[in-house]
Amino acid sequence: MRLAAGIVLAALGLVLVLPVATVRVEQQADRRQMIANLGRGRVWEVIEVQAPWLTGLDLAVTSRNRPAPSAQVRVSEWPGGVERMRQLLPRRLPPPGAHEYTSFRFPALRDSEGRAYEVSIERLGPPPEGELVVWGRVSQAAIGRTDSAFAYRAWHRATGWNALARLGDRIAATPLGVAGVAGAAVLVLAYGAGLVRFLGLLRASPG
Amino acid sequence: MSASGRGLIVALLGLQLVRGLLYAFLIPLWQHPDEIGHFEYARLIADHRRTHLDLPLDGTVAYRVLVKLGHEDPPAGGGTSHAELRRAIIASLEHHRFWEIRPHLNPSDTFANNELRQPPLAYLGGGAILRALGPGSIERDLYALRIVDVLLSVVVVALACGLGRALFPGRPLLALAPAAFVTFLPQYSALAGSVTNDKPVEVVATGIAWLLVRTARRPSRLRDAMLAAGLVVVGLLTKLTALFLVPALLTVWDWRRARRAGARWWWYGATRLGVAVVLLWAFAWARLWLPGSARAVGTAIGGLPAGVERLVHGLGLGLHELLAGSLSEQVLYRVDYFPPTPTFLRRYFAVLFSGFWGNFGHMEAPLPILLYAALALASGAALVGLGRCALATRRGRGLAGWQADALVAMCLLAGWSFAVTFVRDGLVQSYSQGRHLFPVLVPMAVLFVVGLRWIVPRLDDRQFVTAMVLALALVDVLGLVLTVLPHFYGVSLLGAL
Repeated sequence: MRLAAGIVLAALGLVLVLPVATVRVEQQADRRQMIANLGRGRVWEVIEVQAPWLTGLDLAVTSRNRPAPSAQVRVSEWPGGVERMRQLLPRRLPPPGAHEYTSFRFPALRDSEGRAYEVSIERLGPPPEGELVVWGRVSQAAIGRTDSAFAYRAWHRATGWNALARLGDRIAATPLGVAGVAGAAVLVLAYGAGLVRFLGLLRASPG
Repeated sequence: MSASGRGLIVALLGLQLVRGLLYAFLIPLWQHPDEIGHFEYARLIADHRRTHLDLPLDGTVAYRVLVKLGHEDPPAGGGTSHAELRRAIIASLEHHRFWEIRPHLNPSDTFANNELRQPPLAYLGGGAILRALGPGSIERDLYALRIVDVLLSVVVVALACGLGRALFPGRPLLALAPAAFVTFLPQYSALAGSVTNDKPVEVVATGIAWLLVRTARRPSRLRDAMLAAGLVVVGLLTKLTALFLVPALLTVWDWRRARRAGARWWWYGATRLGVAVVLLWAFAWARLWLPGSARAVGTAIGGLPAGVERLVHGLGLGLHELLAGSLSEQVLYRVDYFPPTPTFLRRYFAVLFSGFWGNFGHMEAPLPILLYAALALASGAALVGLGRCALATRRGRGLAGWQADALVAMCLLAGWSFAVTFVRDGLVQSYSQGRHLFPVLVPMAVLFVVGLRWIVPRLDDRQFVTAMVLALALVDVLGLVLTVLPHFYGVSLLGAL
């Protein structure tokens, strides 16, 4: 009986978890995509950056049964008729911390209706320490528009004690300043002490 | 109440305060959902005598409220302007790494989520506080409003304590469990420190839930009905989604009336649920699939007098825009947008689930997947436990009749909150966030606790509450270390540990 109940629970858990797992992956894609409406003056675009270090960009271009010049670009669904291409970025990327700029261009992409698109990376550089920031532009050559601005940040995450130092720096950079660092430390300690106190009271309670 | 009981409640309230403040200061400014729009509204109210309304927002509730408050444009050269306020907010966004953390956003969409159409009560309160503080920086005002919301979240936990004691008299530790659940829920703590109009609605809805528990044990009085009506009005003046309280209260009244008349629960549930489902689905289908129906509704609404049209618009369903504004697109993409498709439902519930337990900032910092898995198992177990509890109660070995009645009321509150959210999301084609269910968080916490309690009957109440608090605290700490700090600060403390 208990085994059966355990199996049922595990199956139920899987059913509940699977959609979350899928959506987590899709959410990542969502973060990388900006969907806007050409009719309102912006471009539908999607850029996927291979993190943590950039090795390529995936761009999908498709159009549905809508009149030109609208087009839809989705990376999460990959509908039929999509021309998918992968263009490797130059292997020699600037190291973390370097203030180096580069630019390069993808060859034109065409969607299933023959409209051409250009993708170019305009700036590649890490202004904040430890982060690689990519700014880009998608132009839709077929209709002579150049519009804008995708960006994706690939964190070069600080780890270990450096992480604590960076966390302190970042909190100190808020309006709270050094008091913010001290305040955060006090709140963390108060949280721990409060939790211990609560559990202690719970233990001592007659129940 | 015993001294230890009082000590536990005080400790819990203190923990909610500390956790709310911790998240309020740890999550960078402007990184909570819609915080920009909520702050803008409160600041406009606070500065209404010194602000020149130079933006074309005459139709918004906010501008109408400002006029009611006696707004007059300041003399030339004096005061400031709404556009300048927005420029100052944008400067603050840049200063606080808003686009660095969310680089995929288009800066031109900064004020696209127009909160100025919301009812004014929360902003009148926030504006009064800002006015009392006097002129100051945007950052100071934002932190002040965040702290006010943390205090309101403490009120919610206090109400949860009262509700628990009313529902489980004689079991003080189990009575504390729903409040402990709310306190240690990571997403609730994170959002406790956000500038929003949600918190007053949470207070109102939790107050109504408490009232429903009390009236399950004794006959309702006129005073109860008046109190409930007053709370609903306060809720509606705060946020239109509080509308769910009206059908929820009516359904609870209907259920209790039917129960007194001896109706069988399954017949009652089947008839009411069946009618509701048929109506909802018929509406959804008719909206997009019946030729001409969408256009007809859109035209009808567009032809109403301006005041009524604004009322319809203001119901939060976006009907006017949806039906009259972009009909051709809707019809063209009806398959994509039709809510009850498997893809929509799968994503909908997954986004709702993650946003309920912990998906921080603008729903862009999810917990590790293994934590969701554990939470999903716990949720499933709670559902199974609720079923066991219901069966045992029917056989006379479970809860007392009035307790079961109170739990049904909690179910109805949660169900109506979800139904209204779901219909609204379907109409505006968005995915619901778990926080949209937080007005009924305490009823949901009660159901979760009762369900889990029936899964582990061998544990005593002390062991059960201790295990639940430790588990949630572990999820919270892991969420902080593995998600919040890496996402907002780009650091991983794991190496340091």
